[in-house]
Amino acid sequence: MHDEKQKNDDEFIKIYMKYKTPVYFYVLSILKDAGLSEDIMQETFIRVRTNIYKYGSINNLRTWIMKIARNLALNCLRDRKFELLNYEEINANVEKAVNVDEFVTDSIMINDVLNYLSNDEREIFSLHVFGCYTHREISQILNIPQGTIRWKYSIIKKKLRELLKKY
Amino acid sequence: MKLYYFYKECRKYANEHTPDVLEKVLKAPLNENTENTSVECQKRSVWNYLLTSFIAAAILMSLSIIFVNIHFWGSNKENGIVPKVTLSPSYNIVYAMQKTYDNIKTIVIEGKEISKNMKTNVVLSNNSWKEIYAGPLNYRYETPDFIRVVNGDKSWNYYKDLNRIEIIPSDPSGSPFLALKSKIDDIAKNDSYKLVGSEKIDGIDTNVIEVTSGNSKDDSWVETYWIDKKTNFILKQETLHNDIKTIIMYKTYFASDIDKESLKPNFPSNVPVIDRLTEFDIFHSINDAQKAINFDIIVPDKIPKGFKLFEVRKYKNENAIELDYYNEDFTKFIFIQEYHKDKTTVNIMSNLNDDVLKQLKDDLNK
Repeated sequence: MHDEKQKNDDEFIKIYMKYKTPVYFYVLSILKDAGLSEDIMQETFIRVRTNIYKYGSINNLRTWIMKIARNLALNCLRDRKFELLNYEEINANVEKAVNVDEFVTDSIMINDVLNYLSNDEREIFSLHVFGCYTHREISQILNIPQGTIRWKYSIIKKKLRELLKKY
Repeated sequence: MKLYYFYKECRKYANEHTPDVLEKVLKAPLNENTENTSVECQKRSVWNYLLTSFIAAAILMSLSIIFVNIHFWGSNKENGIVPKVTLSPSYNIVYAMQKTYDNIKTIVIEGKEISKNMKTNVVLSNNSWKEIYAGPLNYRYETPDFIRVVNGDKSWNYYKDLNRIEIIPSDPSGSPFLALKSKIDDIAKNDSYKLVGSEKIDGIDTNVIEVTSGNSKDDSWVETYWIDKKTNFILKQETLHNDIKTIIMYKTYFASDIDKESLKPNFPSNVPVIDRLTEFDIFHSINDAQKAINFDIIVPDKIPKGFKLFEVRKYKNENAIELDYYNEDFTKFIFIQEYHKDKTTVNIMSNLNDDVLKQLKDDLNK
């Protein structure tokens, strides 16, 4: 029994080491609050660990973990008392408000560039860059058609290229 | 700064600045039911394997009887009567649907998609789109703030919110109709499905098929399709995964005579146009691409059966190329992106299932 538990914990630790960065930065791209993001990251991995023993295969582990993280982050966002009737309306409102909830890292360049992206662009960016997720996987996580992900990502690249000219 | 270096900078920063919560997670109490569930999981896997094997054998036998006319043991051979074998209703419905979509050359399809968290009742997305399709490189895709017209080797993308038109190389992967065809092929080949009933949608009789995919109770998708009994088109699709429900309503029109003007990039003349084609060199063979660039292209030895090279795109300002492969009907794609600098990075984008992709990745890693 103890060996079984130790084996499961070892497996979980490998998964944690592999996904901690993508999960944290993905949640940060939604919440833009380092403290809350750390809490959500912790809750995500608690759930992953609790359920990992029921998981028969790791084929879809990648998208499953990020879906948990996303749902927890969105719930947290709701609990922060935003009027969340429609997530896309919130995207639009947050975009219009200048210098509110700026992306929080120590890197001025990263902050500068990522603040320029809209909320859903930042989600796609963080999944792709920090998590190396494919467009297909991102479409499964965000429940958006793959074609939409592809053209949104092309917009992101173009925006970033423009901004990066000054660095 | 180049995009590639920015990505590298982001990843380096992220790796160095991720907080560590491992200790807290390991100290948190586990659900009691997790003990020995790995053993239960193995038992479930064995049972699933046996059940799947039995179903596969039954279908194979049925097909053999139909096509090869193998008699059942004990059948009445004296008067030549061969017992008829009827395939399951759900198989017939999915097969008919697949054939219908396979035979389409031109079509107009509209989609309205809503995604909602059922626990919190929050609407996560609300999209509508329309596609006029006349071929994998001849279609128009439109949403309220975006229009894409693909015509031959060019794709015109009109971003209404940015007030800009961009011209980029065309490709079939942006077509929702082809994505839907790809999904239907996956259902027919891989997923488990069953007929759960009949319903009327807007007065139209439909068969309701439920499809389950995924590897465990906590990572399964349940998709339900309402299929028009007469036309075999999908009228409605519902996906449930964890607490997220997505509903897509489809309206499909046969379009044997599509208005050709709608497939032309007739956009407002006062919108600035940016020609991004100049950012790429396009080649139609790897040999031609290799002659024109100064690094060795990594070419996979084994591309999945049925795939052909569509084109090679070289990004002019970077040491980066993309090899684009498609299957015969352009429903499946594999894009292999290679960045060559101090270190070579290879990234694969595809809508193939993970098993096939894993083989390709292993092959490239060699």
